[in-house]
Amino acid sequence: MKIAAQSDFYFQTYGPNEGIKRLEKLGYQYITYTITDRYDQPFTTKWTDTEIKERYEPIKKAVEASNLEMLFAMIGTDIYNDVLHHTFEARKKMCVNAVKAAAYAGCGIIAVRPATIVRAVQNAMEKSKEISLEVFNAMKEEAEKMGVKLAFINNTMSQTLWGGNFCYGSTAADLVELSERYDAGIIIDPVSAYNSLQRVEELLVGVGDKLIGFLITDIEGATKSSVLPTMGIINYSEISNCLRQVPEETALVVMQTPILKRYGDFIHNEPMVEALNQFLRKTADVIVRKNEN
Amino acid sequence: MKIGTQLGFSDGLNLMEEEIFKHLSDAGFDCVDYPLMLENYDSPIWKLSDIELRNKMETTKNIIHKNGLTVGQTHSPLDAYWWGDISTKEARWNAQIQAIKASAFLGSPYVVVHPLTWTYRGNKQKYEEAKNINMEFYRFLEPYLKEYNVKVAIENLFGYDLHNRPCRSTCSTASDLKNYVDTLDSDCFVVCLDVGHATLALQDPVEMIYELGKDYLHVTHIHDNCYLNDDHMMPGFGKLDWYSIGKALRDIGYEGVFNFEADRSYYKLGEFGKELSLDLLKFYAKLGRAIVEST
Repeated sequence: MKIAAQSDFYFQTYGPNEGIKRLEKLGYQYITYTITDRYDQPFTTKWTDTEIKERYEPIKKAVEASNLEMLFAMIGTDIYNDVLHHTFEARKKMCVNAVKAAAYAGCGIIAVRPATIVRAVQNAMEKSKEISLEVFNAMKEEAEKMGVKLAFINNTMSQTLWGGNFCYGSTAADLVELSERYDAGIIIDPVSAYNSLQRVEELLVGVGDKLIGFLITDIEGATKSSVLPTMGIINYSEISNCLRQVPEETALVVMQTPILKRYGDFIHNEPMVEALNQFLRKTADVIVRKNEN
Repeated sequence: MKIGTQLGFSDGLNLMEEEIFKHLSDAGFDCVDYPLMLENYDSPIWKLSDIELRNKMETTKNIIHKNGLTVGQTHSPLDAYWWGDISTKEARWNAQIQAIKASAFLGSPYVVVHPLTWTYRGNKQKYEEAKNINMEFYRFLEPYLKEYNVKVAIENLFGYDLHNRPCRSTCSTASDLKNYVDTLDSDCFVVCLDVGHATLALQDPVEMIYELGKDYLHVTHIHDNCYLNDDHMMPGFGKLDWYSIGKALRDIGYEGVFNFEADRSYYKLGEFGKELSLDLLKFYAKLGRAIVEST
């Protein structure tokens, strides 16, 4: 399996060239990039194509000049999983702009989460699919122009769940159906699976050879806050066993951003960051090795 | 500021004592928090003669020193209170004396001794009862502290209210801790601030550090939580403000050890612990330095 680092924190903190150097020093060969702009930010509301290109093209150039390979981009979770009528068009536009950003950043694949609609809405499941498809179709149109493929991540309902509502999570069958229609494969986020009351192991069985990525991330059971992988609620022992069934080329993506952000006050303390990254990298290695044994 | 930790990282790794302390030293720690609290009052270790206890602890001390470490603090058994069975009081308090001796033989300047505690929920009469019995307890220990040249660090604690929520209890506030130390009026007693306990008693650990100052505050227990449970999490994964805690300790000129009591992270690694514990240990050491040195 490929072990990849979520790279956006490095690019944002150190700039593309220095960020790449640091990721190489940590021993990574593969990276992913998470686009975290929001539907109500200038990225969506104001930026022209030229501005998006200026912002993201340096990433592509830095990666091309390095020994790293960019596997795929992901759109951050706060995109359109709370679909309200008055923001829907803006959220759709944000996703379309994210396709452009991914292309300029040199990502051949962009992954997005299907919509989730609160269950209180009539025909919520059908409505979820309807609006998801509307956004995917818009993204697909742009993706074909830009030479980018679409992939899908299982979504979460945690925010609305804790707010008192209840949403549908995307099932393995939903993801397979979408990936067959839009062609680039599936990425599994174990925390989203947990928050959607689904077993990660079942999702893995369901997606089979369509899996292109698995996110190494974890949360604390009671508070749902991020913790180091293997220390939280996610059963990495069972996951490791299940990963035997997936394609060898699947990327295990070490989700560094939520962890590194927790140490924002100390992030320029290089020995600490290096030790943290060594731990995260070793965790991915151990998960893979257990899978191979 | 020196960095120390308990030894939970080694659980399940089947390491010899030599290896445990070598790993600690290699990871970058300066000090050991030797875990005497894991022994109950009726443990065979407290029945050893003074010579046997000295031999056992000095052997360990020599291994610790050989690896460039010192024992920064120990923690006495947690079961000094008899909970209705007063016939066990003598044995329980005797274990505390033995822990003081063991600390001295290990070369530790401090032994953390919890106050005897129960939750009095604002009842002033019960507060006074708790204080009286604690004064009796600590004064009982004082001659041994003088004889063995060890100081007791009185730790801030929390309790649970009628709805099982964390709340204030014995020695929960800086003023309570200072009051205990002042009442004892002896240089054998100082304060141990457990920053996680502080939040559970609805206190701000940063304010407590400033209020205690370096004259009272000699010992720390460092761990994190989300203000809900005594999780003993790794700093950074709960809600405590670590930058401000580090700054406050520097501002008061704290001269003690920045001592992790956050071993639960190692236990949470489960079956991955065998391969990841030592890497986590290295991260802890670097994290400790980052917190106490970042400006």
